[in-house]
Amino acid sequence: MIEKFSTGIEGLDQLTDGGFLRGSAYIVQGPPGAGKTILANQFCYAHVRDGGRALYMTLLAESSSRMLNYVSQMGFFEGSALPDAMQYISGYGVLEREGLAGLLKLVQHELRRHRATAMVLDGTFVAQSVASENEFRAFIHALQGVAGIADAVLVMLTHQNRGSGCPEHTMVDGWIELSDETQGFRAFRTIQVRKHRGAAILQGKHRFRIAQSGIDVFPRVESAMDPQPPANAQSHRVKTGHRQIDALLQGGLPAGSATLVVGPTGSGKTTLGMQFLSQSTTQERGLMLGFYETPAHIRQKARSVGLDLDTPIDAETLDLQWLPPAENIVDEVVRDIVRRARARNVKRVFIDGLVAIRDSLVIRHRMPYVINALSMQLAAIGATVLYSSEIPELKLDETLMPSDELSAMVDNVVLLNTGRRDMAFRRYLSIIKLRDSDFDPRTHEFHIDSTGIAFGPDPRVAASGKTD
Amino acid sequence: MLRVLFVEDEPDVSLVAATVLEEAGYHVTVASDGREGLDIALQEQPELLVSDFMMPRLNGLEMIERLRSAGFERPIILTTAIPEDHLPGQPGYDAYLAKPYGTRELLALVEAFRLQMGLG
Repeated sequence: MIEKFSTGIEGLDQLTDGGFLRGSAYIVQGPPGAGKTILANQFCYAHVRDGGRALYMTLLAESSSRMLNYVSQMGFFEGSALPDAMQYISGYGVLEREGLAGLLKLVQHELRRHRATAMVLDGTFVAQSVASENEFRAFIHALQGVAGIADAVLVMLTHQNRGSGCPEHTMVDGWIELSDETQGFRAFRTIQVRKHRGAAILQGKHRFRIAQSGIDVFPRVESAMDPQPPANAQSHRVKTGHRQIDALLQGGLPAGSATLVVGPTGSGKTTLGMQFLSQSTTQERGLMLGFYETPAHIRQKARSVGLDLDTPIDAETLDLQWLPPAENIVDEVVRDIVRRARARNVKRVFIDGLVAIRDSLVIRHRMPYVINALSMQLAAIGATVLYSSEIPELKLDETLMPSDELSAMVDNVVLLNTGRRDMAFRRYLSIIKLRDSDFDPRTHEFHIDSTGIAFGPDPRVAASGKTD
Repeated sequence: MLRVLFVEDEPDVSLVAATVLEEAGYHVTVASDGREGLDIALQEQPELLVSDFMMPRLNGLEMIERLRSAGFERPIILTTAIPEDHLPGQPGYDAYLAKPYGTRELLALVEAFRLQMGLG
């Protein structure tokens, strides 16, 4: 089996099925500013950290000391690697004077001289510009041979947008494309492994980010997450802690299931989620991810309806996480939730506000697949998850919620509705779907007061006796 | 006219430096790697040598070591983005200039050596 070298980017290792193959040649292609240089440097320093030796040869006229100056600000930079295990040199002069033949000899010579096990050739398009198509093809072919003989990984960077029919793409062992894309005013970066010989790649485009720490790649969750059956077949119920709701649910939510709580603004979705989380214990740790209300606000809100979240939070059996609903990378959000839940052995998860996740997706129709992947990963660790999602207010005589592709992706659906009747605002709860269980099909009116969720109309409404 | 050999594999750096030094009245020869720099230095015996460190074929320190072994005693300025305390082996050079540097810094250092050597 051919040894693989980590790319130094966890997500890219996932996309490439473990990293770059030793003795192979790769093309990393993308427009200026797409992140090629950072990716290549990150790979080199990770390679050096793993005990390898790396060489960065540029064919660009610009100064590599300026690049080095910039790279030295990145989190992955390791100054002690210079100049022994990691070196930067220019091949521009040799290319200019001696052409591709001279450059090829130089690459061979430098690989040997430096005993490099990884090499980056930055600005491969410059080499192409000084040669015919046939000469360039022969050069790439020879380079691949050089990488094989040296038993090193060769990564060639180019900003040219050449298609899959171009000779270099058919000849190299791997081809990675970086893109800068826009949708309306929104800009985002994507990475795609177009080719990787002998490896099970995660196909298609995936988001990535460039930060001070370097490049972080987020494989699309629905493609990256293996279908995982629950660790143990679970038949028990996870109680919400509300006697009447648990009775409607035949004793509670099926353990390891995913529940969608839908309803209009003010219908009580967050309160129901807080009710569920208030039962967090050492045995059943809780985790909440909210987008619209800060942890402090959630704690205050819980107190105002008589729910005790302070005790489990203070006992560290409940973890409140908050993420402002900005342009988040959903695959990163999902990855982090699953990691956090796994690390803390969480059994109760409440994700408040699927709209924020939906709005962060560049391709909205991924939503049900993303939620399905998240639910599967949480079920695999035995966690029961509750999602809240906002919908417009339904007419009171509608007995079923409108069809929603999300409902098909979850095990249980609870509909919370609101309406005005007899001069009063009222709330209603219906179970729409319950995994493998019979359930009470009736709609129940409820109200929320300082003691929490209570079934039946608000006593203040009954006392007023007013009607429309 | 003081003759300076400038050894540098990055063409934009050598172009700018050579222009500035020539405008200041120096005679500049450019070599693009350590091996070429070694050959030219031994053949032309420039009064001052300015050399990069990380270069193909022969790096700056290897070149300096061979020059000193061959009896080259003229001053040498080493320029590199690598901190001086990370450089391997015996120095062999007379001054260190951190990259990226400004042309004024380079010129000031070259001028200082010119004065030290008592050359007009």
